[in-house]
Amino acid sequence: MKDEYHKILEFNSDPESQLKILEEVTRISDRVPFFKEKLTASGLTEFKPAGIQVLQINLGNLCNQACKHCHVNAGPAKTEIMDLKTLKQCLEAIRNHRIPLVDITGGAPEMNPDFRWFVGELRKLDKKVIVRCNLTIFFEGAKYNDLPAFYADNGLEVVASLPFYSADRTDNMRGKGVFEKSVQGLRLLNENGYGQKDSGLMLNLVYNPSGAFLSASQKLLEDEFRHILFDRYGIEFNNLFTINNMPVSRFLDYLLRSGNYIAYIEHLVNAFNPVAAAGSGSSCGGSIV
Amino acid sequence: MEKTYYNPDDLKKFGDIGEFQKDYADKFFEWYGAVFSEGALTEKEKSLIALAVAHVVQCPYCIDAYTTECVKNGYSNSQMMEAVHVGAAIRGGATLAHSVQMMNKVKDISL
Ligand code: SF4
Repeated sequence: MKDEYHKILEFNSDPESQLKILEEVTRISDRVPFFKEKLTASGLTEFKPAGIQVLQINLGNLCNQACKHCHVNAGPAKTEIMDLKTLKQCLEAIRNHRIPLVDITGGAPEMNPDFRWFVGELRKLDKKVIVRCNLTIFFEGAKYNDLPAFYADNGLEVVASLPFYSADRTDNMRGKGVFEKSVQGLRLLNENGYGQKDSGLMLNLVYNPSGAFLSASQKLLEDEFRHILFDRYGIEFNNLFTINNMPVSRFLDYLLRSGNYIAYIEHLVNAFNPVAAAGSGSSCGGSIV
Repeated sequence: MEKTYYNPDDLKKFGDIGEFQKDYADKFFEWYGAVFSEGALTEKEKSLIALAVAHVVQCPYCIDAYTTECVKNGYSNSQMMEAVHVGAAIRGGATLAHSVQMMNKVKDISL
C-alpha cells in the first residue's frame, strides 16, 4: 500500500526536520494517537528515570558497512568519532555513578582508535561490558582479525546483528556478501567459545525486519534462527532479540521514498504493547544513551 | 462515492464492521482470532494457508495483509509463490474436474 505523503514530506537528515516529519503523521492520520495517550489509556504513567543501570555509548558513526536502514546514518566515510577526552569523561561518570553495565555501540565501535583501551579501562573498573558487533568488521584488515579473541579475553558480551538467516534478505539490507561474512564471523565467535555451553561467553543475535513491516514473534524467530543456523552452518548462539526499525534517519528516508511511511507508523502504533511499555518503564528508566 | 470499488485504506476499517451489526462482528472477530492463533498448526503455517486462499478468493485486502504477514514470519519469496501455485492448481483442477460432468452429459445426450 503506497502513500503519497513522500510528496509533501521531503526527507532531510537534520534531526529537527526529522522530528517535524514524525510529528506531521499525527496530523495526517487519524489512527496515530500520541504515545502519552496510549500510556494513559493503558493505565500507565509517563516514564521516569530510576537510577542508572546501563550507559550506552556510541563511539562514532564510522562503520565498514552502510546499511539501508541504519538509524545513525553510519558508513565508511563518516567522521564523527568519540575522542579520547570524552571517553575519559565517560569513565569518570561510570566510576562516580557506579554504573554496572556499559553497552558500547557505533557505527562499528571497533573502528574507534581508542576502543581497545576503553574496554581495558572498563575491565579495570570491573564493569560488565556489551559490544554491539556487525560481524563483518573482523574481515576489514589485519588489525581487526583478532577481535573475537579480544572479546573473549575481556569477557565481553557480544550482541551481533543478523537481520535474517538467509542471504537475500540480509544482503538486501546490509550490502552484497554481508550474509556470508556474517556467517564466517559467527563461526569465529563460536570457535572462541561464544554461544558455547558453559563457556560463560554470551552471544546474542539481533533480528530486525528487512523492510516496511514489523517483526514476528521473538520466540518463533529465535527457534527458526537456532534451528536453521545450526543445521546449515553449525552456528550456535544464546538468545535472539527481535527489534523493529526506528523510523528515523536512513530508514525514515526509505519509508518516505517507498511510500510506506504512514502505513508503517500506523502499524507501529497499533502494535503498542502495554506489557512491554510497563517493562520499559523500569528498564529504559535505568538507561542513559 | 468512491471512484473505485477497492480502496487500500478500507483494510484499516475492517475492524469497524461492527458499526452496523455489533454482535455478529464481535463473534466473527473472536472466532477469527482463535482460528489464527497457534493450535495443531502454527501461526506461521496458518499465515501461508491464508495467503494461498486469499489468492483463490482474490481478495486484495487479504493478499495485502497476508503477504506482509508471511514476509514477517520469514517465508521466502519462492515459498510464497509456491503456496499461490498450490491454490491456483486446486482452483484449476476443480474447474477441470467439473469437465467430467460435461463429458457425462455429452455422452448422455449423444447417439
Ligand atoms: S552495521 Fe550497524 S552501524 Fe554500521 S551501517 Fe549497518 S546498521 Fe549502521
